[in-house]
Amino acid sequence: MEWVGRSRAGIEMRFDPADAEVLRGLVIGVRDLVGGVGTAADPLERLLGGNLRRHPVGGSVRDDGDRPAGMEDPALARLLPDGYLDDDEAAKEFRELTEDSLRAHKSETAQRVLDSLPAGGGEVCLDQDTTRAWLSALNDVRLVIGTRLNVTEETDYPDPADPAAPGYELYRWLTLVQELLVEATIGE
Amino acid sequence: MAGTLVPDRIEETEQESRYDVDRPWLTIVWNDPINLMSYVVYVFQDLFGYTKEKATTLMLDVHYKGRAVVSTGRREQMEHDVSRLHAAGLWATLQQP
Repeated sequence: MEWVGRSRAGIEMRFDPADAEVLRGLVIGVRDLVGGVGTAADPLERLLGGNLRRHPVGGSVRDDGDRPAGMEDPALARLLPDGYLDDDEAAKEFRELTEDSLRAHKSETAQRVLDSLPAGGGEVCLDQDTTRAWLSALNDVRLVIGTRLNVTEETDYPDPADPAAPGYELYRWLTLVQELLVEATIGE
Repeated sequence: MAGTLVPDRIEETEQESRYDVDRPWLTIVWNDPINLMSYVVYVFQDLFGYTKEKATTLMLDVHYKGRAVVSTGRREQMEHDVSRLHAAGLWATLQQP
């Protein structure tokens, strides 16, 4: 992605074919992750050549042994967090009431991005609702990759020779795209 | 198995009495190393209609103090707010102080 701007019609971005393909692959990965599809062969992991380290997320979700059923993947647990901290019963009820619709919402949001991003790249023009979907879907992709990379406030980007370096490069690129899109959206 | 039901029921009663129906609930957003500061401000404005100044103050509280109360009210309304924050990718919970 080289460019973000505003026009009367909304926000315009331009993606070259390679970037469009990478972004589509990641958004499909999130859509399938929340849809419970293909978790055995995670597309996000495949895209990064299996170089992602899987760490439990410090502090933001419970320890591995204490997660609700189906939430063993820290990245999925971060996308679908508990609504209560100190009340397991209320957290369970909240999850029963909201998890399906949250999964559906995130899946539809991802699909909306895929529908507006041509596979071969090119110009993308986003109205207000589609912009909201893009911001949310980009954030979900960053949550998954950031959680898998165990990103913290103090994370330094690794040496290029580090097997995890491509993952961090991708994360940094997604951060830039999201930052530019937020700036264009709030108009400053 | 009737014996095992008794403590369950007692526990459930205690659970219900933990909360005071007359006291307001809080929606809390927690700090997160991944969410962008600018995106968090955007979400607070978009979901709650806050001014940029108020949204920025709340975001800075989340970032520097680790958490901020972003809305208060009835339990059902706060569950709704938490759901919307989860949909936007923020880490939020509700609690009664």
